[in-house]
Amino acid sequence: MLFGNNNTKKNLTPYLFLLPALTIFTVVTLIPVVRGVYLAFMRYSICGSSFIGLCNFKEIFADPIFWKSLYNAACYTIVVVPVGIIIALFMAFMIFPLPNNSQSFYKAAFYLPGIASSVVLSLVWSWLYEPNFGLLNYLFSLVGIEPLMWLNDPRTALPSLMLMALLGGQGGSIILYLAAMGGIPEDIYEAARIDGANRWQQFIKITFPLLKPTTLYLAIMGIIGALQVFNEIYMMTFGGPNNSTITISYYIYRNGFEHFNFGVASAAAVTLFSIIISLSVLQFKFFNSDVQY
Amino acid sequence: MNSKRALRLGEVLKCLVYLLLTIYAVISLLPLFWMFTTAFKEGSAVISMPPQWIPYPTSLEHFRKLFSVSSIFRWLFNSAIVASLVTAFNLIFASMAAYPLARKQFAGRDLIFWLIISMMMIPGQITLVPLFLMVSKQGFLNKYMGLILPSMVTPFGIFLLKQFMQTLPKEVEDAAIIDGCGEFAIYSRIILPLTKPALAVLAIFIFTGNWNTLVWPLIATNSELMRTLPVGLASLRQEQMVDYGLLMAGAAFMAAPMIILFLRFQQFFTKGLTVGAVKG
Amino acid sequence: MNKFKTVFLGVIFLIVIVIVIVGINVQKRSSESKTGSKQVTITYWDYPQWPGLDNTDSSAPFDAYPKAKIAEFEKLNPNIKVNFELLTWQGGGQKLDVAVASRQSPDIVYLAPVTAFKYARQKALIPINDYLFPEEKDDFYETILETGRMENNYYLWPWFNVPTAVIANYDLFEELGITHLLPKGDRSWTMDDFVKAAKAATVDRNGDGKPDVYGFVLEGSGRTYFNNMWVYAFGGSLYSKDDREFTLDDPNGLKALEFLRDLIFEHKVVPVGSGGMNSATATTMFIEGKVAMMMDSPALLSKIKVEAEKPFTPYVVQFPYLPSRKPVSFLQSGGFVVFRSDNKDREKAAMKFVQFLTNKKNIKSAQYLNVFPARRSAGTLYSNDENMKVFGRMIEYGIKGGLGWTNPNAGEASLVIAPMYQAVFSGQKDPKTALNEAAKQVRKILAK
Repeated sequence: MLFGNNNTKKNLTPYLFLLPALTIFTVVTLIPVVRGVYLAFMRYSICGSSFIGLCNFKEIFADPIFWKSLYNAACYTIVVVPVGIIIALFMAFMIFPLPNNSQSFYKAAFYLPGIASSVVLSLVWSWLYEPNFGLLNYLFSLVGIEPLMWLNDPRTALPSLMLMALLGGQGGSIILYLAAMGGIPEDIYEAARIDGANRWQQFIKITFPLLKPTTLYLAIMGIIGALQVFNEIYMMTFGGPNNSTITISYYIYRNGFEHFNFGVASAAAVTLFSIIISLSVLQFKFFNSDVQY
Repeated sequence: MNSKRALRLGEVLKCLVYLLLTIYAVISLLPLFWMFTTAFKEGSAVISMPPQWIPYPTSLEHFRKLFSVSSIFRWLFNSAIVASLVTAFNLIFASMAAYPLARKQFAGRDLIFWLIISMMMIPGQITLVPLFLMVSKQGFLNKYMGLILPSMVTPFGIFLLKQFMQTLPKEVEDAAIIDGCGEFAIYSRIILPLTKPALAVLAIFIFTGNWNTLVWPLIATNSELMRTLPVGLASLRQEQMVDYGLLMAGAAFMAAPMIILFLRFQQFFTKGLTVGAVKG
Repeated sequence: MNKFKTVFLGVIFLIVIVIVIVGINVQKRSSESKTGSKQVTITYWDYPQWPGLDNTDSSAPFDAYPKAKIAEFEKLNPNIKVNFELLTWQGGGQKLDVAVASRQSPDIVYLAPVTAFKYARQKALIPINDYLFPEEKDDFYETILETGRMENNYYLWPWFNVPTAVIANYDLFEELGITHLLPKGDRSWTMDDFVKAAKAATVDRNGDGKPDVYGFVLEGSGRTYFNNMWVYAFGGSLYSKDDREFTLDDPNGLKALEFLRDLIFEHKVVPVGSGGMNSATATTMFIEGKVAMMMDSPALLSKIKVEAEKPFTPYVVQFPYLPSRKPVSFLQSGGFVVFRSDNKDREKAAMKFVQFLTNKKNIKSAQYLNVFPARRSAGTLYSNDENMKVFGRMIEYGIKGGLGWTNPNAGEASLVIAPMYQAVFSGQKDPKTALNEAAKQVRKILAK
């Protein structure tokens, strides 16, 4: 045998498979991340950086806007991730039994808008939310509701962004659920139907449990994405009005690229990272199960 | 009596489902619809408040202007090469990495998995400058390598495939092991075909994600001939007098290939494709 | 053995792909010249300013003019080579930031003051003082030069600037028979006359109790720098001259806010929804004839021609002044910055090119954008256009300092000031309360 005893082979082969991915990772992701994180303990300047220990962390923890940005990101995540997953699951549940043609249409309708460039999306949504001429306020006026200031009012700005994500941002999740549902063999449903289970019971007892890995994926990716939400704020609200939509990612961007204060930005990023990884580990512990048939 | 009522209820439910789906679909399609119709509108009607929904009269002037820009097909070519290669590399490397993480037990498995996942938890703003420095030092600026290398393998691809591969029954490998197949054969001939739906989804996600990105290709290229489509189109915009017609024509031009790609690939995860995977 | 072969073949396949990728690359970046003792290569980045050589062909490329100027310059200076790159308005700022942060900045970029000061604080720019005194200093308008000054150093070498004035819908005034209320001659007028004209132009045509035409419009959710102009007109200032202290809440600032509130609620010449008014809506209302006068830059004149269904004759007037004071104008300006490099020859060559781009002849290119050159010696470009001449007169009244541009926290502070106007214009808060609350918040931000 080429590789000595079986045990070595058992431990070595997986690493061979992982090799290309890990090599590239180390070079393009791990090293820049380490370099970036390193800055969290430095005072950055173009001429050179100097080590200042935990000063950056002290600075951000004393900054009320840092906490506000964390709070905003948390609110956004708590609403968008669970509700988004429920919406995606519900939509997939409704679409899956449909004939193939209808399925294709709805799949396209929900996913494709996500591929329009961010410029288009922010233009259209800015118009939807426009206080004087926007579609939403127009619809409100038809039904007799008071118009809202949407993105211009500190109280409604963040909820407006949440609504945008829920209504327009679930395409990928829906597609993923549909793909996962497609991977469940028909025979299992057959067996359940013979046993007398109706559609709802089939869903609860078969589909949902078998979708757990997908749900876990969406939950973790969702949290990772939602806590780092940036594009919409960068294109539409700039953190305002009154810091009501500043999220931790925008705080990092502002400190890094507007003030060239990369030390502070990195410190905030490290803090964010600690939060995300703790949440993810927790989620895995509670919800992971090696799902087998 | 009972069955008739159940039938009617079923019908009502079905109608409700279609209604709900269609409403959601209409809201969802709004941006795309506006983008395409604006691209065909005549010059002055382009940005009116409230917006004009049906382009009348229609005009091809924006597209004519778009195609008169000399480098647009070069940009299209660049985007196509970069996105295709990035997608291909991701499919290969991510599936290779996901396979042992999903199906095998070995020393350090969880550590490697968490290392990979944790890379997604650092916001891109922090890694942008170090990454640029590294790419620049290697001499990859303004080359295809500089555009492809950073996106060659993404953590979320590995994660997605791992979750999917996990759900495949253990039995599918057993037959192959009995036959004496090597690891690579199990991976390539059994697991990979069964992962087709997830691979198709990943291909779509990665291709569309890469096709649309602006920031990295902008930073990593210097010359007009190396630009990708989003960057090239962005360079057609002035600050004050934004030509929305041209902008939307460009956006429509950029979106068209992705729509075609999606329609082509989404058949891979329509229902009914994995029947008999176990019993067969 | 089988697996080994497959893996081996796979690796070969990948290596082939990599070679192919590297092979079909285009190397457009010309290398530094090895010959010649004093050969210098500099890089010039700029944003798309106008298509073609003179903005007459809208399908011409945006780099035509820079490239033409480079060709001229290189002929005159054979030992200097200039590489040009066209940035994009979207994302271009970030590209420049990354380049500066990784010490690979270009030599020359055309920037707005706030961005320039960001780099100046990092000591990435060279001050242009040595090149400025004494010949040039008098030729450039003082108000424009001042926008590029931080402490004792000037960092922006000016090219063009965009003044602000008030544009009136002359046809509307004619229809209402009140053209006599508009100023003639040099078109300057007092605040009282302005209010009188605005009142006369606010009419209720269909008798439903609500005005169909308003005399003026304010943007509560739009361009805050236009709202700030009123503060300076009343003698107030956002910040102290050195940009360190916040001074908006001094008595003059309060007077300005009260005046604006009165425009909406007492004289009723401004729409009540001005709290939520953004620039797009305000402009649309003006172009559709629902607002009689609006403050803006010359860009609005082009918009009227292009976007109006029924184009009307614009009549530009100066920004109104208080009898005890002079008029003010907000100058949107920019300038060329030159980045520090270890090679002094590059800095000198870069400045030489910048001076070439803004010499008496070339600086007149400002007219392609319908804006004004920063040199006095460039003369009056728009001698046939009375409207443009009024804009030109406003350059001398540019706001000098106290706008906060050199203060790194001013950007964050502006996120507090904008909602303050919003609250006052919508009547949610009275000027005194809004001002005091905003001042408290801003001072906290500035203390960082």
